[in-house]
Parts: sequence; C-alpha cells; structure tokens
Amino acid sequence: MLNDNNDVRVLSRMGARELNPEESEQIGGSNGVIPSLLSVIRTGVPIGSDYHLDE
Amino acid sequence: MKIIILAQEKENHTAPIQWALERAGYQVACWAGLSWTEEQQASLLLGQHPNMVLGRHAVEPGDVVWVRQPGDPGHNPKVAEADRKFAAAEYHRFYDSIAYMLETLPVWCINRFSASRIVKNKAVQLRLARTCGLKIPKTLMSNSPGAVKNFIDHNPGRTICKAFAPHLWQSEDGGVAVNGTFELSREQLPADEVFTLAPGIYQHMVVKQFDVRTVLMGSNVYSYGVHTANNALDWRRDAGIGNIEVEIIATPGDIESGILAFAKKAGICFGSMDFAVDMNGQWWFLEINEQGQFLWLDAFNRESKLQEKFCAFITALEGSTQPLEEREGLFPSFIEYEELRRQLQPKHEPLDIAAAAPGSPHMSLEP
Repeated sequence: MLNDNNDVRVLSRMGARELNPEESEQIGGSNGVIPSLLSVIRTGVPIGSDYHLDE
Repeated sequence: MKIIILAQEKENHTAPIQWALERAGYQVACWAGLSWTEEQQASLLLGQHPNMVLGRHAVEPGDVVWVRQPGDPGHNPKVAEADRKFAAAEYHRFYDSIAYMLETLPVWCINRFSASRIVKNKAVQLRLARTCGLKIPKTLMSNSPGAVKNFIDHNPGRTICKAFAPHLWQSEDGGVAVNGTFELSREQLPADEVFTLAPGIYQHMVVKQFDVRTVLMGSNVYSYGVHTANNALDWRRDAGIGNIEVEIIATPGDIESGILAFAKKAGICFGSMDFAVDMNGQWWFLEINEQGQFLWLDAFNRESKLQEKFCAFITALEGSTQPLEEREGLFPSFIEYEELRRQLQPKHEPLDIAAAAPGSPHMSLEP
C-alpha cells in the first residue's frame, strides 16, 4: 500500500514503511544490534560521513 | 603477514573480526579511509619498488587487505572555500589511486576494488547471475512512466518495486520511515511524473516459501534460510528487531556452481547474496552485496560460525581450497564477542538522524 499519494514525492518514499519506536532505536549499528540498515560509526569527521550504508 | 582492514575500528563487522583475529595471534591494522587526520593520511611512493603507507601502517608483501567499508575521502575542512571543490576532487582521485594500486601489489584484496565497483551495480549483478545459470526475476530499471506501466501490464503475476539503495527519512515529529521492497499494482500507480522523480527497480515478484542469505568465502558457499513470521516481502526490518529465524540449509549443487561461476566472472572472492525460494523449491537470485553483513547470522544461529569461518578464510592463502571448517576452531565466536561487548558497552547510543542527515547521502529530513 502506498503511504502518500503526493505527486512530488518519490515512489520509494510512498512505499516506505514507518518504523515503530522499537525499530527506530535498532537502526543504529556498530554499537547496537546487527543487521542494521545503517552502520553507525562515530569518528568525529564531518557530520554525516561517519554513517555508512550497510546491507 | 598482517591483515589490514579498511574500515573504522568500531565498524560493526570490523570490531568483532579484529578481536577474533587478535585473540588467535594475528596482527591486524585498521585504516578508516583517506582523510586529513594523521591516522587517515596516506602515501604512495612509486620508484623501483612501490611503497604504500596507510595511516601508520605500511602495506607489505603477503598482507591481506579486507576492503570492508572505508569512509568516503574527506578533505581538510580548513581549506579555503575557493579551493574546496578542487581539494575534494583531489582527495577522491587520490583514494582511487590507492584502491586501484592495491590490486597491483603482492597483497590479497578482499575484494579487489575494480571488481567491487562493478559488482555493486545491481543491473550488472542480475546480468552476470543470469549468464552464470542462476534464475533471476524479470526486472526493469527505469524512470520512464510508459516503460513501467508497460512492464506491469505485461506481467502475468505480481510486481514489486525497490530502490537502488536504502534510505531513511525522518519527519519533524521524529517519525522515521525506511524504504524497502514493496508491491506495486496497476491500481496503485501514481501520476506519470512521479516515475521521473527518481528511477526505480521494478521486478516480477517471486512468490516465495522463504528467503535465503548465502555467504561466499573463496570456494566455500554457505546458505541460510531466513524465515519471518508473516513471510515478509523484505525480511531486513524483521531481522533488525530480532523477529526472524535463521536455518542452516544446503546449497543446491546447480546454485553453488552458479555462484562460483558468478564469483569468477565478477572477480570477487567474498560476498553475501540474497535469494528467494519459490513454492516449487526454485532459487531466484535477487542481489549480492560484496561486503554485505554476515555476522548477524551467527547471532540468530550459533551453529553458523561465520565469524570463525571468515577468520579462517582471510588467514588462509589466497585461492586456498582447504575447507574452512578445518581451521575455524582457531578463532573465538561472535557470541563470545557479543557477551564481552555487552559487559564493556552496555548502553546503546541512539542514532541522531536529525544531526546526521544534512551530511549523509542515506538520510533525509522532511516536514
């Protein structure tokens, strides 16, 4: 089921699933549960670049 | 011989593997990727004998280089605004030089950079898999509304849509959405222009019994059935909250042959593959992640012993055909690592998406 029939949002966002709070907490990564959608590595380098895509 | 891991020491596969290797007496060095800090600087000296230094670590003949997950090249933020683009581009070009240069040195790269770059491409993956005798679902990659509608119209079964890469969105109220695989019917199609907002992957749906995650290590292929309570289209979300069962299963002979042929053609020796097993027991190749996560399989099934197998794999000789099971007993398990980590690091720091999103290509904020 598509979530949002807004004609300026991308199809993948329309098909994206909202996470519940428990799921949101688990998307962390290196210091949390694996597998994670994002592997989180806090390095102190410019913000954002310390988050890696992981599948 | 030492093992050089291209990733941050805290990275979720690097930390346990480094720990296990060191416990078994191996020398391990981590290099997080190219950046301006001393630990992330690099040098290439090209003379009669090339010399490469990554941070504090000299790359030496016989080393093993696991290209796990190096960070994107980062330039010094102090650079003048007028020089920023130049510096950023030069950092990227230098990193490419390092990564490609590694392949020419007498070291074993897991995987070679050139191979990893091409095999990350989802179209190439499917094409290669098909040519290696693996079944693939009919797939369209497109941003053309007409092509997508035509594809769905001519599909006698159901159609799914997925993206080329995962992405997170966080709304102002803190809600988080993540993209994944979802079913798309003719009745659900949005306005034509939406298809042009972002390209997508459209695929005939495999009506499946269960999913399979297969891990390739050299000539060894290990397969695991992944079961969710409601046979979810995309099992990753259930896995993230522990709602899956992982079962060790045999890889059918023709599938193993196809995987090994794929690896040979792609030039890779390591990777994680996803398959769907249909109601007739046929295996359908969905995708490969050449550095895909695999230790979670140990967390769900202690008998997997993939941490031990991987350590045995990267400490063997390149191309070795010795069964990994013969040496896996040299290394401690992922479960042991997890117990230790929990004692030392009991609190889980939540991810601050709002803070990270502005600089991350994988996260967005929305109103």
